[in-house]
Amino acid sequence: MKQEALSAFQYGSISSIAMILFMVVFVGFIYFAYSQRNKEFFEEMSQLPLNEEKKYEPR
Amino acid sequence: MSEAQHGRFLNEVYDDRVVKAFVLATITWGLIAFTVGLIAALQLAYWPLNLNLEWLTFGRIRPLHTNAAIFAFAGNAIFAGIYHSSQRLLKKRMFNDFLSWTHFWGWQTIIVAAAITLPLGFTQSKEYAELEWPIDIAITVIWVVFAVNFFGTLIQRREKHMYVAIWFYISTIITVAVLHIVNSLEIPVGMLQSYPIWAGIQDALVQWWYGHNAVAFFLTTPFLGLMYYYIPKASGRPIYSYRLSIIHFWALVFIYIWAGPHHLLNTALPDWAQTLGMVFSLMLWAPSWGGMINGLLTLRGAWHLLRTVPIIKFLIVAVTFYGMSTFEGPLLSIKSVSSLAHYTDWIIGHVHGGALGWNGFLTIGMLYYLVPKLWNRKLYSVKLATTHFWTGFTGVLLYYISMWAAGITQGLMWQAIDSKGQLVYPDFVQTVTEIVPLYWVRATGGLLFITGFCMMIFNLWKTIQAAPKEEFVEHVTEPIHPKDGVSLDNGHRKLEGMVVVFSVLAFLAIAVGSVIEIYPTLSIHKYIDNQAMVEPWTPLEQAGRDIYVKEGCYNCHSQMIRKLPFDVLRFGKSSTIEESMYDRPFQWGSKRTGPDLARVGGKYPHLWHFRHMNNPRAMVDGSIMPSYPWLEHKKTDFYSLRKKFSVMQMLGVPYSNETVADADKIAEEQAKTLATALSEEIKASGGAIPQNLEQMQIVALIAYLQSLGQKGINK
Repeated sequence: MKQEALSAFQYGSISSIAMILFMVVFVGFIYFAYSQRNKEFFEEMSQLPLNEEKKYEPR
Repeated sequence: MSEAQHGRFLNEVYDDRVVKAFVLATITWGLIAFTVGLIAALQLAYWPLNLNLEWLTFGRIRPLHTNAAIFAFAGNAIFAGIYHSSQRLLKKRMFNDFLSWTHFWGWQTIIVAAAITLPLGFTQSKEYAELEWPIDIAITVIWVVFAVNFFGTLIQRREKHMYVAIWFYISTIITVAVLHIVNSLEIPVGMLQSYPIWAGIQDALVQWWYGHNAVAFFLTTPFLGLMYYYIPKASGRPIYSYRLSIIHFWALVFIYIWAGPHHLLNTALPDWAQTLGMVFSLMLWAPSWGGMINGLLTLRGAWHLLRTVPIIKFLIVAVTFYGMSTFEGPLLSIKSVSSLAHYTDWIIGHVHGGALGWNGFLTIGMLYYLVPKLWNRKLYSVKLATTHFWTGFTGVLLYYISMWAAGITQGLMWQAIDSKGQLVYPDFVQTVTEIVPLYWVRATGGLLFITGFCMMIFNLWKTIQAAPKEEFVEHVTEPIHPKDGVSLDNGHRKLEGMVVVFSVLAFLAIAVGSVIEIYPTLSIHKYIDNQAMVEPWTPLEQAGRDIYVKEGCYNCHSQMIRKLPFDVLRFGKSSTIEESMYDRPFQWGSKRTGPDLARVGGKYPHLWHFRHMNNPRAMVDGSIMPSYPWLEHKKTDFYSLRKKFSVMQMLGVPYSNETVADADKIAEEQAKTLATALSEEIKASGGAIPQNLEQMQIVALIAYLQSLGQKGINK
């Protein structure tokens, strides 16, 4: 039974493709998160909860 | 100057009334959930506290405790936090006030319905999904109301970007909906009874896919969202690393959904699913600790706050407990560790480290922050809050350590085999009486936690009392700047601006794992060994089974002998998939406060069960099981069996049309035969025979117990 249930997973190439796909996505996220281009943006984003109470008075 | 030069200004009044309502509900239900938990803990330490009352026995109280703690206490806490923080992060009042209040009152009604039906024994017996079908429908409706309200706010938001907390809220709302609906697919057989469409192993896998992800997406992701908001708010410092939070979010959402099968290690579940669950559980360690580090390091350079500000104490210790629980979780998911820990109190300790330490303390920290803010009044006593912290902290530690000790002790006693290959502790009850002292320590820990919680209630009550009489409305005037700031044109920046795409991606992340795990199991019956097929339950056995479920026997008894030598030595041949193939709901169980029952059939005479159910101490010295005297004078519901069997037949159980049409008569006949045999045994032993014995629940229950493990066609 186990073999039959497993048969869907016996195409070696599918596991390899899945593995590569997951790695690419993961590395992509790391690259995006840690690329210098986005640094300034992230710093501004992390201030979001703190800035909310800043009161702007209309002039 | 002209408006065009300076932009337009936003005048927004946030809806804090509904936040206040959720805050008060959190406090109220928290006290109730913890108190019911304490009662359950005391019942295990001292069995007479079951009071011989059916609606107060442990089997009915324990689901009440877990549901109240998760859905009433943690649920209301999440809603309070989400409604409060989302309005501020999105710079927008909640989408629709009517939806907000429908959500609030709907949820409280569901809780009340649960608090009434669970002690009365209306249960599906699936852990944290016990509530019966009408309440399941209500939960779905209210969750959709919440979702519409939340996504409506998101779409109308005035802040272009979605802060990390919002992502966690999105994934929570989507995933909980999917989990709840799939696990609650059931066919009603009465006003408050239903059978799941899943049977046996399917039901087991779907249930623990749900159960584990209830932890993941009800007790983890929303609380992480709260962490990412309230720790910066309370400490006045931005989160340690926004970049880390991106990795944290996607890795967690993607990996968590796969981990469910670690609740079924060494069982009849196919090995591939067990291995998958174990591997992904181990992988979870990385994103979990990434999140913990991110929370903790937010305080870098400001550690003095930990000494001086009680809110920070609660929040930071909560994150530390998150780290401990998420370290312990993967550890427990290793097959060999699970063989020691599973079914023991170690798991109960692990769960409470998370529930009290992480969810409890984070909620308490949030409440200490929110109440003074919402009611516009300084906290009544900082000193009392600090005392609360130390009292509660001691309580959690006592709880955790005692259950650790109890679990490992009992696990080792179950495993102990002497040089002749015999069990060192063949009497199960020995392994229970050994740890009863630790149950007292646990109850003490719980009592301390509640004592601390009462200090908080007093403290917050005094704060609210001293609040200014006129209602405080936070009035925010800010420039509307939907598109200002840094450009939005690449990668995640763009993604953070697109609610729909973001939500779809989050959905896909959880859908991949769910489908790969559950789909092969759905077709598993095709692979069942014909030589090992079992016969379905007879009508009387099914009636007895429904009583077994109603009394919550699954809370303390498993029906799953694992493929482990010491399990087989103690309980008999390991359980097979075939043996539970018609079980709706499955009764594999998750805890052995009493012995496994998968092969209890034929082990004892009817009389033994009869006297045991009346008073377990009469048959097993030192037993802590509640007595069930009412089974002798409450009548079995024969009438509904025809309906039940037609549903079973529809779901594919091979009952003949005659069996379905005459289910009640067949059951009554079997009951008569069994009652006659039992009466003779009672007479021979000199006991009193209850009137109309054949109509009583005890007979149906004995029929079921005696058939357990006896249904194989080719035994």
